[in-house]
Amino acid sequence: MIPVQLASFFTAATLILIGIIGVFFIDNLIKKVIALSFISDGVNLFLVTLGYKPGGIVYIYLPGMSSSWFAQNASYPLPFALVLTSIVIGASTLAVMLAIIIILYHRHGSLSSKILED
Amino acid sequence: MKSLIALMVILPILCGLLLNLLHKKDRTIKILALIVAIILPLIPLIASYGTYYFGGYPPITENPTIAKYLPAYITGSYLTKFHPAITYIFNSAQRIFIFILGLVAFLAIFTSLNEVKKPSGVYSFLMFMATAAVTAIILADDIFNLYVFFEIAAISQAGIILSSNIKGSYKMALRYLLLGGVAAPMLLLGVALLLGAVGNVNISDMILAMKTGLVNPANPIFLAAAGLIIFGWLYGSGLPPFHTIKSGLYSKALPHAASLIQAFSVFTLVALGVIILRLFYYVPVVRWAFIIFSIAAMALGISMAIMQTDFKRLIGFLAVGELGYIGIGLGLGTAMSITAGLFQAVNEALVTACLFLGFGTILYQTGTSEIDKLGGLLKYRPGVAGLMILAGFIMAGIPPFNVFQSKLMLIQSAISAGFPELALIMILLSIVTFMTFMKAYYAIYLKPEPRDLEVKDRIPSSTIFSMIVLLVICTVFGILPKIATSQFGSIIQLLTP
Amino acid sequence: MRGRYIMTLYDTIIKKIREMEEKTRREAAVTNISASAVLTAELTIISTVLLMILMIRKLNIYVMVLVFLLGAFLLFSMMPITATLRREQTDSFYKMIFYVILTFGVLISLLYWGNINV
Repeated sequence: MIPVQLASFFTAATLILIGIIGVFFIDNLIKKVIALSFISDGVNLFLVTLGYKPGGIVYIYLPGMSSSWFAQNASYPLPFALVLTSIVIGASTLAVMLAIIIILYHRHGSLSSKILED
Repeated sequence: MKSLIALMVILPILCGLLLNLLHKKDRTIKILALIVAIILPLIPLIASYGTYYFGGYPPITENPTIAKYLPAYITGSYLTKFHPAITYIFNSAQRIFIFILGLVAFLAIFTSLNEVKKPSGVYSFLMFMATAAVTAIILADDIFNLYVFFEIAAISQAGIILSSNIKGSYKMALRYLLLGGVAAPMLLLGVALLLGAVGNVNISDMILAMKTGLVNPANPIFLAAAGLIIFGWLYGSGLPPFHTIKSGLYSKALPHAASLIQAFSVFTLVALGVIILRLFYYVPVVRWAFIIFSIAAMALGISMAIMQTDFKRLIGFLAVGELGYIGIGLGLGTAMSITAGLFQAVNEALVTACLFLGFGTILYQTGTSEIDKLGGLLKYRPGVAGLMILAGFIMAGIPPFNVFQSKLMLIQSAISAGFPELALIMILLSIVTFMTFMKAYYAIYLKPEPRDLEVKDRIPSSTIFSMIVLLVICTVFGILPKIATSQFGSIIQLLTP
Repeated sequence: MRGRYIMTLYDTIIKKIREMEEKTRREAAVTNISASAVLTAELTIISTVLLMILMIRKLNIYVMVLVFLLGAFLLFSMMPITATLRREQTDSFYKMIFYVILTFGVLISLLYWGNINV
């Protein structure tokens, strides 16, 4: 059995690779944007996986826990905070890109990336 | 007053959000935008130096009340020096960078408000957001916070391009965002690798961990992180392979917006470049990567510039090419070269802003940017032509102006570092820059006027005012370079142990 | 005086530059760019690359001489470089993303497998 964290890192790497290949080779603009979101999803998954601790508990300090037991058993809480911000940034960039694609579609009548060639 | 450090970032964001809400209320927008734009360069002059903690706590060594409750294995280790907060560091170097950035932002916003009858609240919001983001990039000591503002700056710049209403601006903005969609997640991946290796996103703490042996700096994870963060740095600053999209961005923006965006590129290059050099001080390949990418930027940018027939593309490529001088200064790594590189950055931001505004007056007068269709503009506004030739001389490095001082320092530092070839390359490319500018100047101002050229004689006085302010500062820095170079001591101390 | 005309190296170079000028003038007639600008760009790129190669002397002076001669030969045989440069440095999205991914690959490989000693 592959350890959970290693499998997760491989999945993240695969997502990033699929995204890079997609951005380069796919012709449809919306599919290119989906490939870009694959890249950012892969990086977010990588970040979340960094916080993994085998047998760790969720990092919510409930009354009745001793602080040293909590510190030794909680999984690392920093990556989830970073990923939340990163997902929001990814969503806003995605929204702006899709808005531009809609306008370009209305102008040129095509979603092919040939409209980006001069 | 340390809280003014946070105000440098928060004030433009708040102002931008208000302007967005007040869109269509023209007078309110003009007054609010102008007041905040005037305040922006003044705050760094009155703020006091220090470290500002956003939320969180100062390090345990400075906070004895918390230290009482902690076990000995924490208080006895290096963890007491770690920063459990988002930190902003404000020192003399940051002061001069944010002052120059604020000044260029003020002049750009002032010019944009005066050029149109109905100012756009949304457009001003984008300019303020981007300024706030780059200010935060300069101040940040937390690498994830830097990434967040890096992305905000990228989206705001794309928004500024979209609002310019120039043919092809939508496609250019989409290309910029698509390329950013590849480059910015790679920067985040580099940050993630550093987080995984060190357990912290604070840059000073990471450097402390590497220097005291808490983590092994030769770990290949750090090297991969170096490559990824350098890749993100290339995107943010517009060095190759992103130089074509950056120069395209400058050509599709309105002139005052282009002058602001080039300042963003310069200061992103400096801020993120200094952070990379601080973090990866022990990897010589990083400095060599800086030098190689900078030479590529200079050679490609200036060679492409001389072949352009559209003066907006010409000045765009020149702006990208001049970034290379800064990179060489940072990459050489000696105290003199780093001072020269940082001084060159300050001068670049000023003189390129002036050139963009100046070329904007030509666009305003004639409505065309094709060099072949222009000519004989000298007789309409000889004063503006005089300001333009001065700006061009300054950019090429003619004494006694500021760019001469910084380029001379760069050349001297390259020779004393043992690389006279770099000095030769810099001199050669300065000569070609001068030739490019003179070719454009002759074609626009001195060549006989074509018959079918229609020229409006009115130029907005705000543009002329902005150009004069920038040229005066260039002259002051040229005659008294110590005003600027004495401010970089804080960064030199960090980079040259 | 008529006689056998021996082609010196100097004459070969002059002939090559004249041929290149003809080519660029033909291209310039199509694209309306002055030949002097193209020539300047050409010489700038060649000089910059050759000066950069000179920096290899810090590693090994014999390698530098070899790479310099090879570089000079390649550059002069590839003239006009500016034609290739202008073709590659357009606003085409495909060309941009190609160079981006190429640079990314080279940068990461060099840093990761180079180790600190490179």
